[in-house]
Amino acid sequence: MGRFSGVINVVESLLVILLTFGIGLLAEMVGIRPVYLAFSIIFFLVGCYTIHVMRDRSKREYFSHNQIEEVS
Amino acid sequence: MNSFRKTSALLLVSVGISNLGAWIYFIAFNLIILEMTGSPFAVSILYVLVPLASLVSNLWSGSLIDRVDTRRLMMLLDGLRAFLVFSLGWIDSLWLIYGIVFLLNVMSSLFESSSLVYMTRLVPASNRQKFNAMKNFVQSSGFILGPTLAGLLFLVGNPAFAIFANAFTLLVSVSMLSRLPSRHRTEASIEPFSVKIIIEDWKMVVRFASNAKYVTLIYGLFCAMTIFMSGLDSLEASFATQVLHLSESRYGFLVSIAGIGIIFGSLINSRWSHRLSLSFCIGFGAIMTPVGYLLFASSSSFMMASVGFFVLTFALAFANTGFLSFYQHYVPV
Repeated sequence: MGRFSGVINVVESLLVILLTFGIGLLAEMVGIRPVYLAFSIIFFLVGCYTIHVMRDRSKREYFSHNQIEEVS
Repeated sequence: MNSFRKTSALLLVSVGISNLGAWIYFIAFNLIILEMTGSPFAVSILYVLVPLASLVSNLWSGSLIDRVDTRRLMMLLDGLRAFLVFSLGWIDSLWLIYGIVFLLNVMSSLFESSSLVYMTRLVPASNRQKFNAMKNFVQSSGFILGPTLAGLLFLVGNPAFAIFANAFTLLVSVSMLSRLPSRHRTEASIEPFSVKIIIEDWKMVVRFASNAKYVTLIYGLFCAMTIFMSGLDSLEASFATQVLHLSESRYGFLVSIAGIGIIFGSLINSRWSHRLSLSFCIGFGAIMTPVGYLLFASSSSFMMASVGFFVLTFALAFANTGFLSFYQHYVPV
């Protein structure tokens, strides 16, 4: 677990640095509200994609473990 | 069961104290750097040091964490952090301060990863969702209590006094951790820690990710959420003060509303953990958190901005609990 989260966090930290700088620069050039709104919309699309991925019928068992444990 | 409750409570209190201390230290250091330099840019370097330290430490920390006794490592890290934080109160050189803050951030990142592994080993699978919700509640309470306590400490003393108070909270956390049971699995510690091992571990993670594509995708989507939130949060203060023209005190009130949202969300998660399915927690969190950001982004009044802030942090509590429980269940500890 430590190794897996380590590797993922390396990528995450890199992207956080890049996106934070990118958003800051764009806000300076275009304006705070349009940039904030545009990135919120992209964030919302990521949320929609998450729902789409979770609704895959063949993957339902991934989300049912807590109920199984409650019963047992 | 009682012993489990006792250890859970000890662990949560320890996490809460560390978190509270971190808030006090962070706010105090913002003020100290601003007072020393008068430059907002000098303060913003403090913010960049956090992901930079995380980047540096995560390259190798997983290989270390999976091979040592995580509880002992957490105690050592808290002890070292207490010493470094205490020493910060006596240093005047800005570059030395940045160096020590960077080291502190590396240790905090190590502590966070170690505590995740330790908690997963300590808490039985059936109690994890409830425990994660409680942890979320404790951490989010720091959101409200931290700045309030920091303000009180500044009233009683000064920012340096608040930093010493943080060193003390870290020592209290060490003593609490020392009362918790060890969950170390000795067989993994045989291999010596080296660059070769780190490279092998990276290859192993890539193999695991390609075998468990779905788990990696779901966790990757949670990371995408974190990345977007970090980027948007960096604009939050400017948006509130320059676009919505809120005063600093109104902005502070807005942040408190965000704190109330996450506390309320965590309480619901913790109280009804057995009724809330993982898919509901993840789905609700993944959709409603960006909806909160959208409401905030399109707001033109304090009221609408508050609703946006409340929705986003309330939903975030569900996302945090859901994704973390999913991760703990499917990634081998």
